[in-house]
Amino acid sequence: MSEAETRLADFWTATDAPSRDLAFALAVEERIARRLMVVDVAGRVGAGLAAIAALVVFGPALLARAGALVGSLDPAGPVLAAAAVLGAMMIRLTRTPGDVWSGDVDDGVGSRIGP
Amino acid sequence: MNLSPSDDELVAAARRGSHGAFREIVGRHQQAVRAFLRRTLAEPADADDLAQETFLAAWTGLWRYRRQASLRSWLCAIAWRKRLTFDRSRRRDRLRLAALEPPAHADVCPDRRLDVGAALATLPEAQRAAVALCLGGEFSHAEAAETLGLPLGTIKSHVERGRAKLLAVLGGPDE
Repeated sequence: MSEAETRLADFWTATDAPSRDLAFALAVEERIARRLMVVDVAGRVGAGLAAIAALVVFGPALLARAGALVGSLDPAGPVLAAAAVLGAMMIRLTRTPGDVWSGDVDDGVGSRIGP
Repeated sequence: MNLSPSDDELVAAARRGSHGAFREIVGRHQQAVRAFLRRTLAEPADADDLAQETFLAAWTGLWRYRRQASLRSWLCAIAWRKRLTFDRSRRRDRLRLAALEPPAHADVCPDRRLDVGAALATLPEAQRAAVALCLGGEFSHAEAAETLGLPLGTIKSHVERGRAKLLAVLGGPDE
């Protein structure tokens, strides 16, 4: 092997990267996490702006409709409210042990993370 | 018996959202990508920065990966495009600086036996990349062709001519 070939081979060895590099892998993950955060924030900001724009555009019309609806229900309002409260009480009082929501029962798995 | 998943299996898992699978892809191919960039860039820090950018781009564009190319070639192709973009922005910066500073004489070397990195820098971009991949990175000519998006014959001649030129420059007056 000539001197030039030896120098070239030394250069390839010197410029090689380690076969495993945790610091590099972590740096990549950090960039990915940062990108995910940016995408998430951009999505939330976009959704918020869209909601505000929708309110600005459709808000007055919705308010007018809601006002008309409330006005039409005005006389029946107290009766409907009383019926709703009575209905909720009846449902609560007529429950049997078998109707109890399964989420209230301890299944022995322990605490749940999700809802 | 080899129990480690193949690249295609890792890609499929990463596409389904497995961070562990993508971590394994990074671990498996970071050496090839970083070495390739280190051999085509002057600064190792720039090379590692671009390598990280490469994996970020791979993560966002994983759905574009097709099995025709090896995962290593696909990643190095992304690295190569990143490097070309980096070069263009560097050139713009240098032009801006040149207006402020006196011209440097980097091409004048009192010793004819140039440093290997400087010798590599004398090669045209594509030739340098082909040499770095095939001689330094042990890529096959076909893989290098996939990576650089060049015909196989062009890669072969780039490697041959690049190697001859490098050896001539490194050998100096003795060769």
